Amino acid sequence: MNPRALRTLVAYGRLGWRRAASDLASMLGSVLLYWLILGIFWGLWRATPLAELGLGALDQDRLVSYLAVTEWIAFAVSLPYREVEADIHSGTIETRMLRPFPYGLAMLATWTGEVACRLIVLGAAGVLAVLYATGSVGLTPASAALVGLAGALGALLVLLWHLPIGHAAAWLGVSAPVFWIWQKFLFVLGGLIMPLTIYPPALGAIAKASPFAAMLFAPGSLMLDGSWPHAATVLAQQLLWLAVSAFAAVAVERAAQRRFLERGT
Amino acid sequence: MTAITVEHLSKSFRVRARRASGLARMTSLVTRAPVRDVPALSDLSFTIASGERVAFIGPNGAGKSTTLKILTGILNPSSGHAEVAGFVPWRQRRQLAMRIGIVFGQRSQLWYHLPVRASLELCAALYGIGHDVYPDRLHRLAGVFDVAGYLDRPVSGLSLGERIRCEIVAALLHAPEILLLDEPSIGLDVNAKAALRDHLNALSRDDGTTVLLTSHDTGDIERICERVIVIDRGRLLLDLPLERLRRDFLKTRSVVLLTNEEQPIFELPGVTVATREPYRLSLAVDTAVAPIERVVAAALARLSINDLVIEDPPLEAVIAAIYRGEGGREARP
Repeated sequence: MNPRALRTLVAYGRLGWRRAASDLASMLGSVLLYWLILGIFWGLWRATPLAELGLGALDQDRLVSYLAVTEWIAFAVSLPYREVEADIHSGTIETRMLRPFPYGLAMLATWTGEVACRLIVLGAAGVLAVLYATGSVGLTPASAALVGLAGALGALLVLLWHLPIGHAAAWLGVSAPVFWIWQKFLFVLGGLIMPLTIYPPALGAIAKASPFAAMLFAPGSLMLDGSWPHAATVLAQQLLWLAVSAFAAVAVERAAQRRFLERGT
Repeated sequence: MTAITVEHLSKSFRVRARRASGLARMTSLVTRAPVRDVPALSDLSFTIASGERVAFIGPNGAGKSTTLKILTGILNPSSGHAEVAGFVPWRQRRQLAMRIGIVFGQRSQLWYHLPVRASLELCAALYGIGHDVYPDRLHRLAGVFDVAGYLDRPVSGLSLGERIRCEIVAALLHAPEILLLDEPSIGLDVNAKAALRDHLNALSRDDGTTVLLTSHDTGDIERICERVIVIDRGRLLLDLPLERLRRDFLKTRSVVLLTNEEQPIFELPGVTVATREPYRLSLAVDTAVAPIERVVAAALARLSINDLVIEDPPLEAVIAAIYRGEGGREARP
């Protein structure tokens, strides 16, 4: 990557960061909702006899810590696909395509800056919530760094999928239906609420083989198993899906742009 | 040296016919509606030399935007060839983007919720403007377009005119050699329009910047451009210097006589009285029938003249007449 491209990526990232930092109302709303969901599930898990359900290996504290990680990623990402959809609807995508920089990469860099800012704020809120609920985060500095890295990679993976979802508007006119279906898959197959390890075996196997597991379950699972071999498996799985997802995002963006180049927006 | 070459450019859009009735719409779920080609550009050719300032005009739906999109690389032509700054736009869009500046008056390239300065800093990074050059260039452009006072305000808080001025600063920041402007003065006040026109003229004069402008504001065309390309229904209608456009298409001129006679009377073949007021007569002269010299001589001989004014009809009227197909003759340079 040449220095100009790198400088441009940083500039887009900074723009995203500033956009997130300037939207205090949205940030505060996300933090409050994040705490509310953690609070609800904390109460729910405490009222659930896990041992009677055959889930003795999991305790309430670890389940809340797991949820804190998966919800942390889900709340940090928000709904960026809507920006691509709006650009297509308004025709603004034409002015973006006129720039000497790939549209998708520019979007991804902007969203990454935005999500980085939200990850930090929501991360701090998550630590406070887990400390309040369980009395301890239960992580060494090294494993906390690993959770941070896996969380960031999971968020990046989610962002990568928002690009083709947004570009679906090129064919369908709207992206929302695609997003809502995709999001349900993310919540279920990604293990948003519960670890995939307690899913029925067949469903768990399917979920683990899907990219959604690398987005939420993989970083969350580090709260259940902090061993280095497991961490290495998580990171390898995430990197693999990042490569596959990046390839898919580029392919869909190119197809959409070919359509714009032939038909206009 | 040629900045823009367009050779036999054509573009058709494939449009699927709509089925009106409910039953027909239901069947369209399983059968495909017939497709037809709608031509937007037909065999368009022209060249623009480096440093020229050219107005590219035509009525709504003439194909101006389609041409501009092809020339900037965001639309593929159906056939023909074009080169802009030595690049084939639809094959080398990103390389071309480094050499051209674009302002779409109705579309923004600034970030709506962020201060203007943040968008301009991004432009500096995008176009590789060095940290040593950027502050001076921004300072100069901010001065020219009078935007220094609101560089730190969010774009969302700017008026349309203020935003357009910032858009223009963003488009000029990388000192492009070719400027493509689509309705750039839309929403600008008189002072900002004058600043824009002066600056574009200065850019062309001092730096040899080529300007291709589409505008419905004839003031922009008159004060910026030296040549006019008129297209209609995707075809080249006229391509000639602005002066020649005036000369060839000014069939009527206006002569205003201020007289000592309270009720002046003047008759001559080819001359009609447009308005008659005490001590004042406004005449519409068909110059093909009555040359202006003969009208002036007759007026001086028959009336006691205090003052005499000869006016061209506004360019707006000339262009409107061309659009209506009332032009004199097809003219090419």
